[in-house]
Amino acid sequence: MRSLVEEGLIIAWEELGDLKTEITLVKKVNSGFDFGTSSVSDESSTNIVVQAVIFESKTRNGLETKEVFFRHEDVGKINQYSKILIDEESWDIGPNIINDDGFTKYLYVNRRGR
Amino acid sequence: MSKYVTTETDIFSVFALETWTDEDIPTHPANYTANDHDTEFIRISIIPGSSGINSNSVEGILMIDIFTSAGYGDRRSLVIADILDQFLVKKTFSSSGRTTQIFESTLVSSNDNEDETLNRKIYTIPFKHFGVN
Repeated sequence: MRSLVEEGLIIAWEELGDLKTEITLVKKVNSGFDFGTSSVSDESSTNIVVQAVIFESKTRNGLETKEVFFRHEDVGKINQYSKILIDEESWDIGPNIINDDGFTKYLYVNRRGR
Repeated sequence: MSKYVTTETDIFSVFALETWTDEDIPTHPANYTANDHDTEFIRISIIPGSSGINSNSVEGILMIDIFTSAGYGDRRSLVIADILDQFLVKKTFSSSGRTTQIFESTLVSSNDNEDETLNRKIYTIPFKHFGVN
């Protein structure tokens, strides 16, 4: 059953065509500080580029929000990322995920004060 | 090692545990500049106070700032505080003739937000470190 859904998703994802946009996910450096040795590591953050569907922005109380739709297989666990770059602009990943069914992820990203 | 360094070593050992890192809460010590702008993290400050029962002992406060995204309510801060309680409240660390005890926590809101996109709560918990002369 799972493979049937995955095959369907591949076709549906292709059908989205140019509605998809390339975005960059910036991975968290999980602290960069080693609590075992009380010292700073020189680990730097790494980025991955994936395709996503970006929905229009909404602004409320100075907080601008977009909804972003990914394939799960492209991104994995979303909490490994600290932010998203859309058109080279940085957006924070909101704490609320709209939907995560194991095949796709649909979530809010936001930024303030622009 | 001195009492201050051993106190830090004992308390920081909690945040080096795999069970803590599995909680996925970015954790920074005070006076540390993170590379990323996290929307959720904690910052740990160890504040030594008075001397304890001898010159190798010290009492103080462990202060943890809990930062979460502003505008989403307090629930996530409270969840993180409860997780911290599981790792810290009434815990004792002993090694090489020294002991660090941690007691009960309190949680207060802070109006002194350093970043308007973040909500800050202050979690505090007293500790006593006993060393031998």
